[in-house]
Amino acid sequence: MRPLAYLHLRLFVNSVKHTLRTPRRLVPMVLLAAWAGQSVIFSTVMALDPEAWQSMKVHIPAARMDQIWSACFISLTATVVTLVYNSLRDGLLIFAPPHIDFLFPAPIKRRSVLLMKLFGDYGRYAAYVIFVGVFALQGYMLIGMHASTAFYAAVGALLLLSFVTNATHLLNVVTSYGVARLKITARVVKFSLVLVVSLLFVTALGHYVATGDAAGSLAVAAQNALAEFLLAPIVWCTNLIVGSTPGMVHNPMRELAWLAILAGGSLFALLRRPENFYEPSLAISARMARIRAAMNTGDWSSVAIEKRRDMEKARSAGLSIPPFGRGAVSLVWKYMAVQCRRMGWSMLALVLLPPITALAARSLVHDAEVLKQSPYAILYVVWGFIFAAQADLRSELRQTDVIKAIPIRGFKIILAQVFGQWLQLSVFALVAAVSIRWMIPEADGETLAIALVGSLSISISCISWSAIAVMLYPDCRDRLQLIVPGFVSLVLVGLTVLPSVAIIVRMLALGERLLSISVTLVLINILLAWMGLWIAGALFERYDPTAQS
Amino acid sequence: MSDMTRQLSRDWSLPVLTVRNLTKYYKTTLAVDNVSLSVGDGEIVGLLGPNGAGKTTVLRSITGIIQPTAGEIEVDGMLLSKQERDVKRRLAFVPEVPNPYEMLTVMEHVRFIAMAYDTLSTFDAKCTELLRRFELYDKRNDLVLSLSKGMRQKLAIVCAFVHNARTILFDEPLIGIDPKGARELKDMVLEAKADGCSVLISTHMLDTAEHLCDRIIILSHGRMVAEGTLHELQERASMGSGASLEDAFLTLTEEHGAGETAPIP
Repeated sequence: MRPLAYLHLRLFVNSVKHTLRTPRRLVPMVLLAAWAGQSVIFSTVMALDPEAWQSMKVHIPAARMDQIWSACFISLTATVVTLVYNSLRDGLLIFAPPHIDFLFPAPIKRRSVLLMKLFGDYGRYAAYVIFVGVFALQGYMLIGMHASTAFYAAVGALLLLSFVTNATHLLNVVTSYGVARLKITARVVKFSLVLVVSLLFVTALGHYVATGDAAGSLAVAAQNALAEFLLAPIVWCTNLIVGSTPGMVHNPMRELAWLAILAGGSLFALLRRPENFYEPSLAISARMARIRAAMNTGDWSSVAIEKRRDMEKARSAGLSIPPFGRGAVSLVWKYMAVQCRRMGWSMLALVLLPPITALAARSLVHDAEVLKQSPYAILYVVWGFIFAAQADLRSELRQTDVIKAIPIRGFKIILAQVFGQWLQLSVFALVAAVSIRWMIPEADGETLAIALVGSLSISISCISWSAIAVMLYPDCRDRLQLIVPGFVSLVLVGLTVLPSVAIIVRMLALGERLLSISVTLVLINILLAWMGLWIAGALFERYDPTAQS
Repeated sequence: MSDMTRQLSRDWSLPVLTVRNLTKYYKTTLAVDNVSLSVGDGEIVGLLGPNGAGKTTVLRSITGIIQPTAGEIEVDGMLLSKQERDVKRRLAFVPEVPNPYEMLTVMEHVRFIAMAYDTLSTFDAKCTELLRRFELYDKRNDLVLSLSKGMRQKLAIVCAFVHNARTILFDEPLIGIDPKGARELKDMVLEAKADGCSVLISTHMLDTAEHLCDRIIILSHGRMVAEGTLHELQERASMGSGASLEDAFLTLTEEHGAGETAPIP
């Protein structure tokens, strides 16, 4: 273990030093630390001033605590299910490429290498728990929680996550060398999980359809004998997290002891396994390394391509769009062809999602006022597309060597990219508008028209201005470095949206006609988009792909 | 044992590394089919073959990274399956595209390898010498992150030589290395041979293999199609002594090209 301890100590020290010397990493770290620090300072001040604390204390009725318990249980269940599901699909025994090249051939016990991997996982979970705990601290203190019970909650969450990780690792290791065995085991576990979660969902849905009580349905799904029996460790952990508040009766030591036995037992069983897990982890580790590298640079297109690489259908071209256009227009074709191939049949899901959502809203929502305002949902969804567009532009920059060599002005290259993204977004917005109009008769027609025109016109200007953020920070090498451009982009998009919002509010207040509001919105946003494209295009012209960040 | 005694006592017929009937399936694909080979004391053996022939699988099996479906690997009389750590201590492996720890400095990286192989006692002198030979000494305190691709390859080579391995396995070691680095590596390999170290090199560079290796093994579609000295390969390919290794290699691999890898029935 000594070489491994040395390795990880040096990696940690050098990472800290590297962060301190790299402003793009240091600034987000300082922002995160300041954010967490204010929570700690607030909690400390409250703890030091009992009078102020008492005056701020919030009493939560037992019924509300019940709802909080249910929500917490469902969140933990979702986390556990996702962890198990991902493990059985990808395998959780993922090692970094340097481990494969330099640790695997070294005379170090496999058990030590596995322990190192597990400690890494536990450390990551501890970091998450501390991060969430720091922000939950204020809320906990406001409802009168004691420090010891907060500690129990954190340890409980950590033990649960460790148990799930150990158990899934164990499953992967045991089935390492039996493809058929792994498939059958994975199918059984996945099916059981889906069955349990579906049962809970159906129970909640049935209760909601019968009573219309959302909070009650949540409680019915979470607090029943089936859930408490099959998902007992999650129930114990939920008790530790929520039960640490006054008014809830539970025995934290008993629940902690059970979770510790499960985590410790599964770790012991895992370390006793004789299988050589190096080989099964090779392919998945290499694949995950490529995916992580793409994720770290914000290149989600490459992430999708990597995820598709191993699939059988990746060998065929799949969906295709016949080539069209010359010059910059051909770039629009290239964008659309790549998107089509990348997304494949999931594009169909994108088209089907709005009508299905509208149908669900029509059946489940009984409040006429909410249904009347439903068209505004288009604006919210479109907002998500705008930020996804940045990732596409980052992917495009990976091929800068090719694109910069093409004799097309930077303005046109960015315009082609933005137009392709806008076209995709427009299809979704149009389908959503038609779905709402068709399936939700209560939806206000004027609101729908403004939401549609607004989303189509605001999005083109927002995408153009978010391209500026990408071009200001083109070479992001890790996720920390993506925080600053993300923040800049948020500010730029926010500023771009402001004129449109002001115009809509003012003109609606003045009782202007729908047509004049729409025309004004379109004109303002075309002007803003042109400005954004001009700046982003100029930055693209100056961009040197060989420069180091 | 002195150098002279080592030279005199060296006998290639006494293998340091022996691979017996190695077979490897990846799910249903046969990657290596019943390959047997040996590398003698102080012998340099070249492992040649077209892409997908199974060279990397053989090397990774020897290092214990992957588990053979069938067959045995023996180093210095110890079975890999029984004494894995003792076998690994006697081996060094340079992967085709090394991925060193980017957040370690060059010196820390080499020190970590020395610690992992428990050879810290000879580390200081050996490390300085190796870093100087491969022109990494000036970069010893730089993070690996800042090294070019070729320099990373050199670092992996330094790591292989730092722990006095009995057998060194190279997977395409010359790719991405500058001419001076390549010359240095060849000299190091010859010096290691003189010190009684055995070397197994997988390469596509036939002229290098021709000049450096005592013996050549040719793989094709996971099977061993030929083995021997250059002269023996020329004879096997029914060529005269004037023929190059490239001519013999192409003839021998084309002869066996028709035999496709068979999946498990």
